[in-house]
Amino acid sequence: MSDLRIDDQVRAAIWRLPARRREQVGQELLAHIADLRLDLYSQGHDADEVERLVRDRFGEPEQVVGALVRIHNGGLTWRVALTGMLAAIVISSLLWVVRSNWVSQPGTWYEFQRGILYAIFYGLWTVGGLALGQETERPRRDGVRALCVFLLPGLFLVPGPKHAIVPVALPWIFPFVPHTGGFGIVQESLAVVSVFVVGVFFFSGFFMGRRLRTISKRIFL
Amino acid sequence: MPVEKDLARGTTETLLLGLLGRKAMYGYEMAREIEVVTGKLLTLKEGTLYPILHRLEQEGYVEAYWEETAEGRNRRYYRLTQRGEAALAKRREQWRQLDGAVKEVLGA
Repeated sequence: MSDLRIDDQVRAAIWRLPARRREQVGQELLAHIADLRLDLYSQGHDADEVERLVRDRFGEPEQVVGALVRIHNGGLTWRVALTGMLAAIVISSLLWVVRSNWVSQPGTWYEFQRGILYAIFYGLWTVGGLALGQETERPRRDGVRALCVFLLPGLFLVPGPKHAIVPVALPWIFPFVPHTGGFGIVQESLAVVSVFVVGVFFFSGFFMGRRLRTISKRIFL
Repeated sequence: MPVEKDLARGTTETLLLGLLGRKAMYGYEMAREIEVVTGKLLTLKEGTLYPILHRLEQEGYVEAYWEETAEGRNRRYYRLTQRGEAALAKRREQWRQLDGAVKEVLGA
């Protein structure tokens, strides 16, 4: 259990909600807690007892807000999917052009094919990652979010699309891995898939959400 | 005797519609009212209450509005819409049928 007051935990947890819902849900839950406190004080409980009972009765704010997040987050919209995919393809293509010309053997058909495959792969990858954790109630900002999700792994520390970032960001290191003779496309694909599987299992889901939010609270609150 | 969770599952939405069929209420009031009316046989945890209320609102069965309390705090009240009233009438009828059927089987 966290040392934070339950009110602060609610304020921290509501960041997972779409922006236009945060204030309303926060106010509603905090009003609920205030009512519960008043009720308990009127029954003659002392301050420590009241805080303990409030926590018992209200439950973990993470879970309460988590249930609301599932109601209010509409899933991946076509706009996010399209923007994410196009951005991923464009950026990964640029990376491969840079790599082909300056790092690896320039201009080979193999490099070109490999670049195209990677570009498509990153596009699908990014959309898949976004689908795991994106919130989409503000379509105008979805494009920016879709870009930021994989361009700025630092967003990790901001409560938001909690499941998405590590699985999405990790494979971006691959264009920078030096190409060696014995490391072919099959091995590379296996390595990428392994990283994806490990990334998803290790960082996604409740474990990751909880960890990230704990770090976020320490930094931002 | 406390009611088993599985038995009560699925009734929460109907209970909330039923409560709001009496008068407009805010979340905390609903949670307490359920306990009072059922003699604490049924309780509503916040993790259950608010998601259902918000879903009912999204589906147009209830509408919410803010009201200021005497102490100057804001509370979000919920009331049934016409669609919600129709749904409640339908649920009442379905519940009556289900209740009768279960009684027949159990010999209660």
